[in-house]
Parts: sequence; structure tokens; C-alpha cells
Amino acid sequence: MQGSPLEIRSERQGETGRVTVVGEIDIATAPQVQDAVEAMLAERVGELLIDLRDLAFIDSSGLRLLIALNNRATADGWKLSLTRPSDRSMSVFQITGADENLPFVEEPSTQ
Amino acid sequence: MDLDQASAILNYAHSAFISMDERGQILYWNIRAEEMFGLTRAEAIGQSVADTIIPEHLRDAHREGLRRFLQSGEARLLNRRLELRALRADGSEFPVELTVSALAEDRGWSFHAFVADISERRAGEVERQKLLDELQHALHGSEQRLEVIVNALAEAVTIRGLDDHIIYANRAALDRLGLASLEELRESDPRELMGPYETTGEDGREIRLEDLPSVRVVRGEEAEPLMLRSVHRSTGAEEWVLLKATPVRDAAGNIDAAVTIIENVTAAKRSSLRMEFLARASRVLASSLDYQQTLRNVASLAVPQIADWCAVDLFDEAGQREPVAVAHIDPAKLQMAERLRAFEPEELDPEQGIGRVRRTGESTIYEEIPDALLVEAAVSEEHLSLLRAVGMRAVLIVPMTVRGRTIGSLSLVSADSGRSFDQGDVELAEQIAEVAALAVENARLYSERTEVARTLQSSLLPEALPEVPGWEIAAHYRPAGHEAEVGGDFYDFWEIAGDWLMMIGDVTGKGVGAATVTSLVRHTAWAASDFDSRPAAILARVDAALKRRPMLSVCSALSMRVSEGRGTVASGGHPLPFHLSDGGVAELGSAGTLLGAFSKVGWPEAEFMMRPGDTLVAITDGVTDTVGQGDERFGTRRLRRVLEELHAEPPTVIRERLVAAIEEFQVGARADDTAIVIMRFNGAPAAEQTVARATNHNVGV
Repeated sequence: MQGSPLEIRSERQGETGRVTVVGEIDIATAPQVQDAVEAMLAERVGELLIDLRDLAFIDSSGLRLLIALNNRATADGWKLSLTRPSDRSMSVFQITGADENLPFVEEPSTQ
Repeated sequence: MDLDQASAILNYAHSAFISMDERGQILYWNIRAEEMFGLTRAEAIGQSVADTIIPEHLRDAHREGLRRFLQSGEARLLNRRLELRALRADGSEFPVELTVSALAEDRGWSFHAFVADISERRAGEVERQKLLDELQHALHGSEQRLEVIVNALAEAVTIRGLDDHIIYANRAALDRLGLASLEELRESDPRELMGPYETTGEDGREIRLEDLPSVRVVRGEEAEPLMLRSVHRSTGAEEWVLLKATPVRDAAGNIDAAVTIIENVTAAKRSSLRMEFLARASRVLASSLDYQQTLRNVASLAVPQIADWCAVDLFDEAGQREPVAVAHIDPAKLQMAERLRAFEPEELDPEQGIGRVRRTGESTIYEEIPDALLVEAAVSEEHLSLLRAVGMRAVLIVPMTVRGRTIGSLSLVSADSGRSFDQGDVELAEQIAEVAALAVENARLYSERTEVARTLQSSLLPEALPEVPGWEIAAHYRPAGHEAEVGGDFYDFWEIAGDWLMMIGDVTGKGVGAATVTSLVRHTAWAASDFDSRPAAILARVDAALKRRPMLSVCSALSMRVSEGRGTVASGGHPLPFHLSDGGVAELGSAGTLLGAFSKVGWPEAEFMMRPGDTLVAITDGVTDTVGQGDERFGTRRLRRVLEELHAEPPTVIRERLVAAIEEFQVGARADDTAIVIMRFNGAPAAEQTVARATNHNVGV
């Protein structure tokens, strides 16, 4: 991968905000993901979908961000969905039990 | 001190201060620059210097100069006082004086300039040139007209005849020379007139009569204007004057006299010296976090331009002084300063000198140092003779103040040069002291933070690796990045009922927040093991304790209990440990839930056997997450390969080679902490029992 190891795309479709993450979420790039998510949440979407299909790598900082977001969604009453990444990037979620605790979906639930 | 800190300081500077990167874009723009160029900081930063403040006709030269410097290092204009034209935002041009210095940084070169608007000074020069022309014209007119014009001049004007004698001086010139009348002047020997002054050029070289422009002009030589510094030998008053001489010719065109206009440029000269000094001082201050060294550098910059001696003292909480730096141009004199220090009382006198400055926070100036003062200050005959030997003429002590606290003082002493201090010197010294004080404060805060981080970090790791019978242990810990930050990785060993417990973990986050969580995890694990020392039970307790915290506190940890030849391991979302044996490298145990994070939890336990020579290696994800070429990660596969090669080595060798392999792989700064624990079993194997490698006992909450 050349240049920035992370690319983020944000789009809104009706009540659903989608943040697509391409590349790596680590201690250096997690703040960018956080910013993109906050910007989307500021638009008061009813569902936030984080598309992780092209996630290449995620470290504990990135995982923490997703956990915090999931806790917020539960507390504030909106829906969070995470599109399941490739098997390689899924391993961190499996090692930590996140695969059973975070709201992973196979495909984006809305198109 | 980094550029940001320096910029905070420079914002207060009296001159405009501008920084530029090597692409020519503005990096920094202080308040004075906003006023001078009519452009706010927000508008200026990121703009090209060429398009913003350089008049069109100079832009190509600027770009060419920058290109040449970056390519060849050839610097024609650096560290010199330059007079150029500059452009305001409204399109008007004005004359400026500036000194540019270059600083090599990790990201490349940066350039820094103090800029002064010299419109007024320039206007004055034009005015004087007009007068000079009129004067020449008048010389060919009537004597009377000359008298009237010249005497009205504020500038000193003299006319020197062919025999070097001054044949005419106006009122201002007579006052300068300390003479009552023209007659007195005409009788004086020209050399005697220079007698009361110590006269030197800009380079510090002595100026003789033959060097004066008027003397050269009457000898038919070309003479450039001469800048000289004169110090009155008895009063110590320092002046900078600019001498401009013009020949006066008779009807046949032969030179028969020289008119000199003596312009007092003390204020301008001092301000430009100050600019140069501040430019250099800011570089010195930005160069090191070692404030003692920084202060020594500042002190040595101040001599001999500002004073003959410069000393910096810092005050501790008890009000005692700590001499940090003393500078004199002559090293032999420095010994004198050291001998003097020995006589100085520990307690500062709050009414005198440095003690007074400390108490009041205000500058103190001693314009004269009469012998009586020395007698009063001396504690002994020897002290007195030393004090006299210094030959102090004037002393200026200014406070080093940070946020209203006086943390030290800067002392300037005039001795050998015989100069006195004026308000301009006080202002300059105060500026330097302010900058130096900030440098000290920043360095102190930084070293305090580093110290706190170090203390905290060491409290989060075992003081020493324990002696575990039958086991040989090595560990490695390296925090990411700055030493002023506490990392979130930890490991620990403790004994319980004859068995040993090992825990290695990674608290997400950094700094004091992460340290608090680490501390909680360790204490909970210790306490939990008293009741139930099964690894999974310990993780369950830690998970519950983390969930009781108001803020999301997440930790991954590996919990392991070992006894002779066997062990049990459970993972709380942590990378699994490796078992190294002749048979190869195998992961032990299976995944369990991250601690403090989730509601659905489970920590399967796995038992394992150790044969003599078998080794366990546990890591934190800082190892596998290390970034190399092309954003590639070190990864588990690479780690396994390294461990396969090293499986038979003792723990210290495995540690050393593994760390070397990671460092060799790594590109750029380390982003995450790394911790490694290596345990080799050397003792007797466990009794006959054969335990399946992964007998799972699920322990839930």
C-alpha cells in the first residue's frame, strides 16, 4: 500500500450513514476514523454502518474505538452495524471475542 | 524546545518575526508581522513568502537564492544585516532591515527572520542628504548663510582643513566634543579631540585619526561612510555614530576641506544588534532541551556585544541561588568569577542586587559602582581586592520571570569596555531574560514529565525478575515514542502457594490514564489470585473490575500459572503464547474475551507440559504490529520464523535476537509499546502424568 494507509469515505443514504474504511486503523489513523464517525453522527443518522470489507489491518486502538462506539449506540438508542472484513483482518476480532460482541453484518443492510 | 515553544516566545518580540519552510511557504508569523504587513496570521501562514511580502522585482532573486542554498548550501544572505524593500498587503512598498538565519530540522531547512521597518530611518537619511547638498551649496555662498543653516542643525557638523585640524564645528558638534567655543576647537590637536573616547569600528577594531572619513577625504581618498562606536572614557556613555564626509573644492576644483556630518545612530544600531542577538538567541534556545547548556549558550552570546560579563542564576524554592552560567570573552577572567562565587553568601540579601531582583521581580541597574559599595559588599580583604580587580563599571540585573514567578536572574556587568547601560540595554536584557526563563520552564516541565513517566512506568513493572526455581526468565519492555509518556504494556510475576503466576498485558491508550488502568489490573489480579489462582478466574475478576470503571477501560492480558514442568494459560483477548521445543513452535491455548469490553465473555483455559529446554514466549501486539517497509507489519508468521530459529537458545539470547529482528524490520518511529516475556524450563519434568495439550475449562463470570 502506498501513501496514506487509510482512506475514508462517508455517504448518507436516507437515515443510514455509511463510513467506508479502506486500509489500516491503528494508533495513528484511529483519530481520522473517529472524526469521520463523529461528523456522520452529528447529522443525526438513525443507523451508522461502518463498512470494513476493505479493512487491511486493525490494532487495539482501532478495536477500542469500535467498542466505545458500540457502547454509545446502545446507550443513545441508535443502530451500529459493521460490515464483516476479510478473514485476515477478522482475526483480531476473533482473538478478542469482538466477533461475538460487536454487531457484524455480512453485507451492508441497506443499499 | 521545539518550534512551537519558540514561536510562543517570539510572538512577544518587538520586531516582526517570520519563518519559512524550504518550499518558501510561511510557517510562522508573529503579531508585529501582522501589523507591519497588514496581513493576519491566518492569512499569511501557508502562503508563499515571495508572493506575499517580496516586491515583484525581487521575487526571482529570492527564489534563485533559496534554490541555490538548498542545492549547494551556498548562503549569500544568511546571518547578515540586510536592507531590502518589502511589500505590504495593500501593495505599497517600504524599506526593511532584516537578518535571516537557517535551521536544519528533521523535516528539512527552515528560515527565520527578524524584520524591522526602517521607513523613518530612511526618511531621515534622505533629509540629511538634502542638508548636505545645501551645505555644499552654502559653502560656496556666503559665510553668514552657512552659519545660520549649520547651527540650526541637530546633527553635529564639522569641517576639517587640509592640515587635519577641525576648522569649523557647529553647536551640536562642539557639545559632542565638550568644547565651549570655536576658538578652543581651533587650538586643539585633532588627536587630543579623540582622546576622551575609546573608538572602535563595527568589527571591534580600534579607529585611529587616519581612518576617519574626513581625514581620508582631505587626503584625496575615497571614503565610505564609517560606523563607529565611541565610549566616553570617563562617563562610560556608549554611542554609535555614522560619519559621512564630503569634499569641499575650491574654484580650481582642488579639495580644500571636508565636511563631516556626524549622525548619532545609537538607537538604530542597538536595535539592529538586538535583532541579531535575538535571532541568534532564539536559535540557541531552540537547539537544546538541556536548559543548563542553553543558559550557558545565552550567557556567552551576550558577551562582549551587550556586556563584558554575563551571569545567569536560578533560584530554588528556598530562595537560594544556583549559579548556572557565567561568561566572559577572556577565559582567564572566568576563574576570577569562580573565586568570587566562593565569597558570596548563601543567603541572598533581599535589599541588594540579585536578592532584591528576586524579591521585587524588577530590574535593578547600578549605573556606577563606587568603591564604597565594594567596601560595603566585601566580606574580607581578599574579597575586596578581588572585587576591585574586576573593575566593575556598571551592573544590570534583570529578573527571569515566568507567569509572574521570578525563577532566576540575568546579570550583566560592564567592566573592561567601560560602557554604561541605558534603557535600551535594560529592555534588551529583559527580553533575553524572558526568553531564557521560558526555555528553563519548558525544559523543567519536560524533565518533570519524563521523571513522572519513568517513575510511573517502573512502578508498573516488577522491580526485578524473580528467581523461579527450575525456570530461566528474560523480559523486554520498550515504551513507544516519547520518554515523557507512560506506555500501556505491562508484565508481572508473583508466587502463590508454590506456583508462579505470570501476567502480560496491554492497556489500550497511553499516559497517566493508561497507567491507572494498568495499576488496577495488576492489583486486581494479585487480590484475585489469593482466592482463586486459576488463570481464567483471575481474568474474570479483572474483567469485572474494569467494567466497574466509569470510563471504557479495555485491557488484553495473558494469565499463566506455572509449576515444575507444567502450566495453565488463559487469554483475555491477548495474543497467545508460543511454546518452543525441538518439535518446533506452537501456539498455546485458545482465544478468550478482551477484558473490560464485552458482555458475552469466556476464557477457556489450556494446560500444557514443559520438557527441560522448552521455552515459552509471550508478547504484546506491539511486536507483531511493528510497521516495516511498504506499511507491512512484522506479523505472526515472521515472529514464528524467528522463534523457530532460536528455539534452542537461552532466554536472554532469544530476547536479544528477537528485539534486533524487530528493530531491523521497523521503519519510522515506533507507534506502540512492546513487551516480551521469555521463560525456559530447565528443571525436572513433571511426574508421569500426560496432560492433553488443550484441556479447556471454560470459566465465565
